[in-house]
Amino acid sequence: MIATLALAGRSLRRFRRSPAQIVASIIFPGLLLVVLLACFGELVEEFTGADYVSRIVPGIVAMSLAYGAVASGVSMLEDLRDGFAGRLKVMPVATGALLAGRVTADAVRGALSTTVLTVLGFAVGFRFETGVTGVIAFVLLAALATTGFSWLALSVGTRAPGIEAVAAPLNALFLVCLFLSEGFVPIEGYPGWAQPIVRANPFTCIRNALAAIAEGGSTRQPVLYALAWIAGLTLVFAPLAITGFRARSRTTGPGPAPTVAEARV
Amino acid sequence: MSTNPVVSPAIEIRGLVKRFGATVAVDGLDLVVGRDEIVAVLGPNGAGKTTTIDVCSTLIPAGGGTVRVAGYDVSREPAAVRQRISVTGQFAALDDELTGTENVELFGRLLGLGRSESRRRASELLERFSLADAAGRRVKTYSGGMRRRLDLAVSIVRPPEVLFLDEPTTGLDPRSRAELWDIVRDLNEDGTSILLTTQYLEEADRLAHRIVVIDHGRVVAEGTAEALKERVGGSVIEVTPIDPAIPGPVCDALAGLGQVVVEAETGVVAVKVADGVDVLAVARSLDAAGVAVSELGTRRPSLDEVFLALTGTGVDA
Amino acid sequence: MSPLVGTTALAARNLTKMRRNSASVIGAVVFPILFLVLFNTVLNRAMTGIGIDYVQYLPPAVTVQAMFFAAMSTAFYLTDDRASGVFARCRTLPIGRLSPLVARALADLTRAAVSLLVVLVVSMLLGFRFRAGVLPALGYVVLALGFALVLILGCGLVGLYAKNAETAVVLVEVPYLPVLMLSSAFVPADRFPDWLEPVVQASPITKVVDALRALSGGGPTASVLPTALVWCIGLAVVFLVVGARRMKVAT
Repeated sequence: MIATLALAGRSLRRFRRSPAQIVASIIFPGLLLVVLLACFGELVEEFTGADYVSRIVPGIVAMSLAYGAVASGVSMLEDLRDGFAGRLKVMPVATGALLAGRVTADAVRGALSTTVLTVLGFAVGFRFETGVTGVIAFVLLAALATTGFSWLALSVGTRAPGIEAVAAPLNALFLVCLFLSEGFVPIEGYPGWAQPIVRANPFTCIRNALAAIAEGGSTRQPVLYALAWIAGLTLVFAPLAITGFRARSRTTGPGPAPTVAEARV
Repeated sequence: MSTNPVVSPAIEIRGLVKRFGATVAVDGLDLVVGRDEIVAVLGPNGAGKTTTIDVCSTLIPAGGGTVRVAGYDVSREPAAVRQRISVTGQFAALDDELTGTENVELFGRLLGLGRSESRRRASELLERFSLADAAGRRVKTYSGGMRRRLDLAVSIVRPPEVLFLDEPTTGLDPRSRAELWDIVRDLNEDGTSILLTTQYLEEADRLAHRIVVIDHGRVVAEGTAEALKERVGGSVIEVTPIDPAIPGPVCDALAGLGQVVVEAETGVVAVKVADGVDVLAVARSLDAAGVAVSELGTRRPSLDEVFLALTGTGVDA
Repeated sequence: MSPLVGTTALAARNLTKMRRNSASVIGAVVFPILFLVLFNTVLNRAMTGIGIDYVQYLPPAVTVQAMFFAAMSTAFYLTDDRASGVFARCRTLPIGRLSPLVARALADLTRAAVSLLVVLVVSMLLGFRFRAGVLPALGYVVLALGFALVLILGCGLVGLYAKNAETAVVLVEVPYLPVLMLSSAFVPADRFPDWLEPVVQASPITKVVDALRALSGGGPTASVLPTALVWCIGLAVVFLVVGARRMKVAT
């Protein structure tokens, strides 16, 4: 337990010191939020009659959680590759501590980025009808959702041969899922064939749950769907991450480092 | 299942076997390190040194044989082993993004020292390892020597019963190497048993109470450095020709004494001779042959020569 | 060795490297397809609602986006080569001083051409047509690749300044999406908030995309094409001048 917290603290420190991660989790989503609002705001509002800010802020939050998780997966790969995980293994540290520490750190990071984005959203018109309790619930759900994405990213990070094999597929997967969700356009905007996909999409469920928490009204169903997805992701990917980690943590030395150019899609 | 740890050796390896696919990395290794001993394992790349340490430190399972560390069997009670050991690898696995202090503190906390105790140990160790000035800088700014020192500091945040040092000074400059040796000796005096792997005969010579030479995964010789050199026997006579580019005449003159080797870079002609060969006689015979030399000397066999004699291959094989 | 031989040799090396880097290939081929399909799926209904034929409207946007993607790798391949010493080594070889840069540009331009081909093929499968005839269609291709070249020069500049590959990635990938979106690429300029409309109208991306639309859709090219060309040439000149100065300093 102590080990988990100590390693979580270490992951958070690394996040704080990595400009690339801060950009990916906070700055880029923030920028995108503002630009999307400017670009599509009028168009979609005319189409739906509803306020665009309240649609995209939860969507952008969901996006930042997912992309932050990708960075986590890459970090885990680096820890395995550079022998850090190997070193921990020969110490009296619980096997799962590094993974658990990372997931914990990700939850904290998720809460942090959500808070920043919510403040930004507030500046451009996003409102919480549910007051302070709504904000807290919002941030908590976001933190929980991050853990689901984390396990997914970690299961890839512990098994991939190189950074490129982690970042590229995850980024592509999340991109497609983000597009095909209600984060940017309501479901009525999609052609018939796409609607079932959109409805089932975890980003849709998480986004809708977050939006429901902010708006008030009937929150039970959307939140339940979101929680179901988070639980599902965890149940499927946590074991994969753990087994992958066990198999790969048996080295104390680094391999050749892939260049960043190879990591880019 | 654990024997009385006070009496049992620090490390006890009997018949260790480890295969990776078709490659046999360790092939029936026997090795014992007593309490408060420093034992150096000497061997070329691929001899099985790192694999042996990996098994002893519970990183990978043994294929066959038994290994006991600090009195506990590594396969049956790995957790107990991990409580009592520390490992410093060749690659100094540290967190590059954290500062020196943060690294030591982190590992202190991971070993169960409290936050304040970890902090105290951090400043103490960084001071001792001459890293106090760099303590607040990120490890990725450290030089190779600094990284190794920090690596060792991290390994002893909580002084272990048994310490594994895997090629700790490879690539370091002589001064850093000497500093590290002092620290290792101090540790040993304070009660840590040490198993050290190295490619440098001098390092083994200076630090270890005993040297074990391994090749192809098994022990080929054991003893002190002197004993090994004695065992290999003889000495080496080195002659530097007047003109290093023309070693021919010198080679011819010495050919009768044994196998002549010309060192490519310096042009020095070396010949291994049995003990008792009179250097003066050699000088006289060179003189008689009319061969001019600039230097003539004799020395003990080098590591490469020891290896050649013991294993049939050079160190860089 | 003449500069030409050196340049071709380096270009070939760059292309081989890219071909072997599967992520790079996927980026050039899969992403354009992905964006065409996704944007169509997401925005078609909304756009049809305001009277825009999105199937005809979208491909020029994805074309420009694909050109961006092709150019972005210039930045970090260049930074990577600089950091790894390949760049410095090239200077000691008997090839022209500009050879590595030209080779880099050629390789990325090739990738841009491949992407452009993919975009056009897939767009046509979705219903896009060149309604203005063969000559404007050729003009479309030329303008698209010309714009790619301008972007390559710009990203190359980033590559010459960035300290490491990670920084280069961030410097290039963060502005690209906002720049692309604050234009008429995905949404007509008049759909932006009033205070932003001038910015969008002035953007070179808007000019280029509008020109591409005119060339493919049959609208009046006289009003948009010259502006687009002026922007392209102007930017190219600026990038080249600054780049040349930077080369003198950095190497």
